[in-house]
Amino acid sequence: MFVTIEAHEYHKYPILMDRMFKLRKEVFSDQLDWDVSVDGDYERDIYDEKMPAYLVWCNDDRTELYGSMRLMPTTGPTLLYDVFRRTFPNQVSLSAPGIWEGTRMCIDQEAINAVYPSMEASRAFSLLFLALCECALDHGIHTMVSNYEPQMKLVYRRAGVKVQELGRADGYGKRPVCCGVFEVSEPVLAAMRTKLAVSSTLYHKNGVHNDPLEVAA
Amino acid sequence: MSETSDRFLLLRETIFREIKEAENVEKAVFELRDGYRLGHVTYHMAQTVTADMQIDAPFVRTTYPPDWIAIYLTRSYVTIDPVVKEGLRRSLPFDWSEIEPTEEAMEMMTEFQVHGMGEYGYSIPITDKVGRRALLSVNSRAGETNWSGFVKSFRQDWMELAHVLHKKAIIELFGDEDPVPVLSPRELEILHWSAKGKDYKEIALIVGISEHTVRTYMRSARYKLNCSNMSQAVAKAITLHLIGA
Repeated sequence: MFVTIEAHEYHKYPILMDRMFKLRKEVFSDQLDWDVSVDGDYERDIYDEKMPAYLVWCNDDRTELYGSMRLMPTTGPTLLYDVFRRTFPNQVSLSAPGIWEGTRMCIDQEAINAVYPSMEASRAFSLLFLALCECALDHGIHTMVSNYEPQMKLVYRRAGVKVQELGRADGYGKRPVCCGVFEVSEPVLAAMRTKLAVSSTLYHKNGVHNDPLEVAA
Repeated sequence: MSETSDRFLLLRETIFREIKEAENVEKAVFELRDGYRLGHVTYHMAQTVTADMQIDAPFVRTTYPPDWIAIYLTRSYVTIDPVVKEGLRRSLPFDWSEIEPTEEAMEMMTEFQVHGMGEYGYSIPITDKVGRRALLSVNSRAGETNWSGFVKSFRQDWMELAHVLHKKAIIELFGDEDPVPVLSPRELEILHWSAKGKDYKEIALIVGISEHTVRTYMRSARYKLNCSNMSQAVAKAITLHLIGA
């Protein structure tokens, strides 16, 4: 299931929160070699102190984490502005109530394959992105600004995502990091559902529900 | 654009202006309530909030009647009110039906309805550049039958108006006027072409970006300039000498 975890309920999901910060360390520090703040087995930065919302992909019991990302409004302090303003100041100063920032998007391929053995990383990312679009749209958000690896562009395009690359920066890791604007709208959602062959809603606000991926995978 | 969305747009622009021009935040919450025919509107600003700390002496402006405010204050409901407690820690907008109330909060909610307040509500958390937290809550009139449809139609506009109200509250509380906003070169470029009479589609072609991205830059420019529409943003940018006339 895909759910959000916000500051008033961090304490309810200690296992997921703990695993998320570990996964981020494995992905962003160990695999991508980004210059992120690592503390032991965890990657956590000052933006995690600002009570952000996290979109997490987990099992129905909320004990196994499959993927996560961090959501922050661009009306507040944002990572992309602080980190990228020297590289492309033009683009990352975007700020308005309906524009949100998505960062630290990552998946746990092993955990995913334990439940969905044949699911490839590109599909997993696409599903997480579809859940993000549903979540954003459900909250009146019309635009996401996000950073991503260059090879993700193809994945996004195949998934029906509408992205405009604003710029890319070197020196953050093994590969350049792109920054892009993503349209969030009913037409984009419909296109993604068609391309990914997912007919049901992935993102759920509350409660337990049937796993739509059982049908869609 | 359909007739309905034209009407919604006009409504948002009207309320935007009324909030800005209202004498103070107290009057502005009434403008918002009456404009959208809501039951009540409440704006909270916290001085400091952390994930596990208590909320201290919030700045509150509300359309609630005096007798409910009196009960709320004398019984210290602000310390148990789940909408406020959660709302200042959340960042995504939420419907009150998403809240799992504690026992003491249940009592408050019952009392709330006994006093004739509508049962449905929606709250929009606000975070500004210095990390300050605020919350705009709206609730239904008694007898509301299509609350979720109503929220769906207006949530995006309310989110924008929440920030207009917040900017007003900051000025009212701290007395400082907004400094001249810093717009990015791209935002200025969009405003420039808009001043020349180009529409979104034409600007997209000139600048070589998608129409949605043009709209995104314009929304950002509008937010920074605190303007309700494109032509006002252009006029203000000219007045501030950010772009040429």
